Amino acid sequence: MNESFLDGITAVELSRGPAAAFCCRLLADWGAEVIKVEPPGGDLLRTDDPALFERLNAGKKSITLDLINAAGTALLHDIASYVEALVEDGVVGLDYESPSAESRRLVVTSVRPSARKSSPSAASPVGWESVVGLNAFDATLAALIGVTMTEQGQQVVINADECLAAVATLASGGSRPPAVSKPTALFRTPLLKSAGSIAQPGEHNDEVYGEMLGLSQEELAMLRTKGVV
Amino acid sequence: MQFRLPLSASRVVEAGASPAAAVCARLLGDLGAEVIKVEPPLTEARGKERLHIDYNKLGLTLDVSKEAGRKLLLRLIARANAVVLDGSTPITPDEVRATRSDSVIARATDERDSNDVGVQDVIAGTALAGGVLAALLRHRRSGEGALVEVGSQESAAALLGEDREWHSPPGPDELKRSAARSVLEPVSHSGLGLVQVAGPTWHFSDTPVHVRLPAPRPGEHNGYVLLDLLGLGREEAQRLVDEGVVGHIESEVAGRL
Repeated sequence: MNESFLDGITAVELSRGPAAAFCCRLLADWGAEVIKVEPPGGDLLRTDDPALFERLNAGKKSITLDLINAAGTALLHDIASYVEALVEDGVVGLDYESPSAESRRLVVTSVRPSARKSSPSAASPVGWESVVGLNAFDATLAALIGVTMTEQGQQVVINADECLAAVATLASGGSRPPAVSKPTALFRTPLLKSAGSIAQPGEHNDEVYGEMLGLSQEELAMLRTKGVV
Repeated sequence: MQFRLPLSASRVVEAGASPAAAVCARLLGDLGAEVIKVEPPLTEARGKERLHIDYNKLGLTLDVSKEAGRKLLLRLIARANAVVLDGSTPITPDEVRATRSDSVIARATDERDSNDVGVQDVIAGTALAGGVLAALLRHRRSGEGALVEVGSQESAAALLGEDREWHSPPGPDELKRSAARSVLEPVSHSGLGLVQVAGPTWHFSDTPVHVRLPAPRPGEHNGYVLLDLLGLGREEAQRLVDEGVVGHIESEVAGRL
């Protein structure tokens, strides 16, 4: 049996928008372990658009963390030193311009959302975001390959407006995808890890804070009491 | 310190004429791979649409409909880490694996050879490049090869959803124009002079990626590939040119024949 493409890769996701979330969905599809960091109340999309939330987040683990809180930010930095990649789209409370000394090998993928105030393309606003997320997926993998050569992580920034402008320039032919009648997948390649279920907010708190960071039950209980996790 | 692009140790053969295959190979070229684009001899210079998706590549002309051409292509694939095929490439993944068992094989299942680059081609090519990168990452770890496949229409449908209509980038026209300007990079193209192409949009902090090479003229690098890379003797190379298996070898290199 072949091993999954991204076995051994763990990515932390801090997303507000769909592009970064879709990037991490692709990482999970290809076999990475993805830890989605949600605010203690859970991602707003869970209630705003459950179907979209499911499409973007199947197969990920979920932890809750209050990033407004200094203790929460400190915990995030601890987690970042245990993982290979961090994908973010400008979440408040995160200052992660460059990898720190203890996470020299960390790849930081930063999606910069569109400067557009709103998307007039009501027909498929998520489609646009998915194209940006796909570009972020490629960039993350490229940087991870770079780490195998140099032992150095780096930050890669994907600016949504630039990304879409480039797509529009390349596709100057302007043809549209013909109608496809059956449900389709992005890849024909059978991926070895089937899309998993949807995690509850914080479902993997014990696993990540306990097993990965080695916090005791008492420490975890205290963080819960303080509302950090 | 000199930086090394993530794929600077990788060679990729692009042996398919579809735009999706070309987009995939260009993205890998952006990341530092040595991409060899294989085209039939006597290919006319492609349309300007292709300038955006064919840069950062070397050009080889080879008639793969001839047995000698097919064999040469397989020899080249044996020297590459990854190969990008499409539905019209007369080489199967099994043949590639028989040549090199750990090849990363990417295939865009389309058969169209067109200057008309559509959004679906860009999406499929970007997805295919992601699959190649995932497979190359696994190869570094386990030495395994892989077959990664996408279909352009399916990929676009999967991303753009039910509607699938592609609007030009939404937003005020001025913003759209300034965004487009921000991605254009000038590149000096032999024959066309200075042209503006949409450059790579990834901003890597340590290994910035750029347009390093303009789109090659068909067969521009025949000499490099045949003589230096495959190590053909001068008589053998000349025979292949005479038999129409490969296109001409350009003069500065031909002097070595």
